[in-house]
Amino acid sequence: MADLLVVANLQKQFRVASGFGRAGKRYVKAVEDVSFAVQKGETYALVGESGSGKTTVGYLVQGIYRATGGEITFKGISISDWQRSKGREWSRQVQLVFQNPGSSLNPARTIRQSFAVLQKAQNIGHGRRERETQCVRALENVELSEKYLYSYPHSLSGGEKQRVAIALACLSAPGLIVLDEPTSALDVSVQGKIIWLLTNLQQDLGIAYLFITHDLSLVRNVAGRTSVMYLGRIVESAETGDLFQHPLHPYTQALLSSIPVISDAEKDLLPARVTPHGEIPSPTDIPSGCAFHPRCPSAMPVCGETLPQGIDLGSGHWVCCHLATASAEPASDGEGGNDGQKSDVDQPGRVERIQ
Amino acid sequence: MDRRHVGMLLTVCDLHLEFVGFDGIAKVLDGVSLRVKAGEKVGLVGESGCGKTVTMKSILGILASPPARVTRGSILYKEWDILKVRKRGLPRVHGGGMSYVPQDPMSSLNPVFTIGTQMRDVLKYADAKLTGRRGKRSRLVAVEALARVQLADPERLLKSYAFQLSGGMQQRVLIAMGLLSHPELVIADEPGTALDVTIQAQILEMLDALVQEEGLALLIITHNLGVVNTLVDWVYTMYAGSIVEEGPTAGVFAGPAHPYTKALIACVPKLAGGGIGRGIPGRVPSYFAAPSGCRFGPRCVCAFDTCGLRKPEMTGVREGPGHSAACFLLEQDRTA
Repeated sequence: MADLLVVANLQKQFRVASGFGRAGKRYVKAVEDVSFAVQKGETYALVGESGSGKTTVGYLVQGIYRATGGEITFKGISISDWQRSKGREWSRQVQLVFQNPGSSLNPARTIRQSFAVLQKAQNIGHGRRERETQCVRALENVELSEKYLYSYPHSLSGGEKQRVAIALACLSAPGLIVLDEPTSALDVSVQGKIIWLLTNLQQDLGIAYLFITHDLSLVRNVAGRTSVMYLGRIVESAETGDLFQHPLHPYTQALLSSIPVISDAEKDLLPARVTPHGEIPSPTDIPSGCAFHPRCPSAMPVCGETLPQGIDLGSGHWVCCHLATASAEPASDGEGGNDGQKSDVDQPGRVERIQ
Repeated sequence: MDRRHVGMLLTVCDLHLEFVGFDGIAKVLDGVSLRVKAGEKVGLVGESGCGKTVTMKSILGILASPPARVTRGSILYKEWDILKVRKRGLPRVHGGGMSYVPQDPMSSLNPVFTIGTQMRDVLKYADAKLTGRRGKRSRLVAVEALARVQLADPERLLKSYAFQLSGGMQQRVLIAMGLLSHPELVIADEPGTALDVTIQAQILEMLDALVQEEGLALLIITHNLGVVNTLVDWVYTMYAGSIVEEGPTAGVFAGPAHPYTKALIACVPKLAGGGIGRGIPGRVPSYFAAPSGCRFGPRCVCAFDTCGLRKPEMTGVREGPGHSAACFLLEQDRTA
C-alpha cells in the first residue's frame, strides 16, 4: 500500500536566546533525525519520555513548526508544496488533537461557535444550513447529542471536551490526525471511551493516526506500528506486538520494564527490569555517540564515540544500537565486552517462552 | 478511645464531610472508613473527583472550615483526635509523625526560595532544637536527608532553586522533605505519576526501600492502579465519597468484588493487547445532588431496584480474609 505520510530525516532546532556576553548561538536540537512512514488508515505510535521530541515531530507534521531539515511528504507531495499552493487544503488534510482539552477549546465560545470558526477558516460546507447539519453529524460521530452545540466548554467534563476536540478535528474529513497524548489528561474510565470512538472513526472514515504518547500499555492496544524516540532520534521501531515481545534497544527494554502493571501475568510479559541511570539529559547538550549511552546499563566504549547505524532485522523491526549491530554481524564477534550484553539481547526470548 | 483504633496508627471512622457553598451543600464524603497499621503500605484509589484528596486533606487537618464541615465520624491518629485538635495543635500532630508528600512536584516547591531554605522551614516545625544555633545542624540533617533519597551533590542542591531541578529531582526533594521530621506515617498524593515511567519506577522503588528501612507506614493516594499494585499491601477503592471495596492488594486485583473496582480494572489497557474496554459510562455524580442509595448505582451495569433505596454495607467477600466490598450483590450472595 502506498504510504500516506512519509517523514524523511526530519530535523528541528530551536535557537536559544544566548545571554549577555555569551558567545555564539546555541540551539536546542529537539528533533535530530527522524524518519518514518504512515499508511492510509493505520495507527502509528511515537513513544518516549518527555523531552524526547515526540510532540515536536507531531507539530512539524501538522505544520505548526517549520522543519530545519528533512522532508515531509503527504500523498506524494511535499509539505512545502502543499502549503505554497493550497495551504487551506493542507490544514484540512492533517488535523491535530491536543493533550489538554480544557485549554485547547476556547472558553469564551460555545461549541457551535468553535465549529463555525473552523468552518470559516477552512472553508468547509456551504450555507448556514449545511454547516449546521455538519456540526450535528460531527457531534453524533463522537456520541454527543445536539444540545452540546450551544454549551460552553466549562460545562463539559474532561472526556466530553476531548470528544468535542475530536469532532472538530474530524470535521474536514482529514486523511491524518496527529493525536498528541489524547487521553493522558483523562481518567482511565474515560480513556476507554475515547479510544473506542477513535477506533470507530478510523474504521468509518479511513483516517490515519499519528499517536503520540508516553503510555506504553495504551500503545500496545491501539497502534499497528510503534517507534520509540529518545532525544530527537528514533531508536527502535517495529510492529507493536513484535516490539513488546522482542524489545532490542536497552532504552525500549527500560521503558517496558518500568510499566506499572496490575497483575503477575502481565509482569511476565515484560522484559527483565532494566534500570537506566539518572534522567533524560537536556536537548541543548546531547551526549556524543549514542545519546542513551550515559544512562545505558549495557554501554560499551564504542557507544560514546560513534552513533550506531540503524539496522533492519527483517519484518519491519528496525533498531539503532551497537549491541544489535554487533550481534547481527558475526564477524565482529571477538570483542570482549560483548557476552554480557548478548544475554541482554536474548532476554526477549525468555519472555516468549513464558507466554 | 475508640475500640477500633487499638493497634492502629490511623483510623478514619465513618467520616461524613460536606462543603457549604452558594449553590447549596455538597455532601462530598459519605462514610469513609479506613485504617493504617504501623509499618503498613496502604493505597487509596479512585477516579478524579471521587473524594480522595478531600479525605487526605481532612486527615492532615488542612481543609479550610468553612466551607468544609464534618457532620459525622472521627479521625484518630495515635493519641490524637484530629478533628478535635485545635489549629495551633496541628503542628504538634505533624511534628509527631505525620507528614505529606504533595502531588505535583513542579508546583509544590516555592520558586523563590532555595531548597535549603525550604528544608530549614520544615525542620523548624519538625524539631525546634535543630534550628537554634545558626542552623548548622539543620544543614547537616538536610544534607543527609537529600543523600538518603539518592540525590547526588546535596550541598549544591541546597543552594539551588526548584526550577533548576528536573521533575524527578523535585519529586525526590519533596520526599526528602517529607521524611525530615522522622514521621511514622507518610501520606503521598499521586507519587511519581506526573513523571515519566522510567523515573516513576525509580521513585517508587526508592520510596518502597525507604519505607522498609525506616519501618514507616505509607498511605498513597492515586488513580494509577499499576502503582497501587506494585507498591501497596492493602488497597481501598473509593467512589463518590465512600469506600466501596477494601482488601489485600493481591486479593482485590485477582478477584475484585465491587462492580466499580471490576470496571476500573477492566479499563486499564492490558499488555497482552487485544483492545481496551469501553470504560465506565457516565461520570462521577454531582455532590450537590448525589444519587440516593449506592452512589455508583446510576453507572453500574448490575444495578437493580434495591441499589437506589439504601446504602449497601461493607460485606465480607467469601474468599480472602479482610477483603470486603459495599455492594448488594454480595449481601444477596451471603443470604443465598
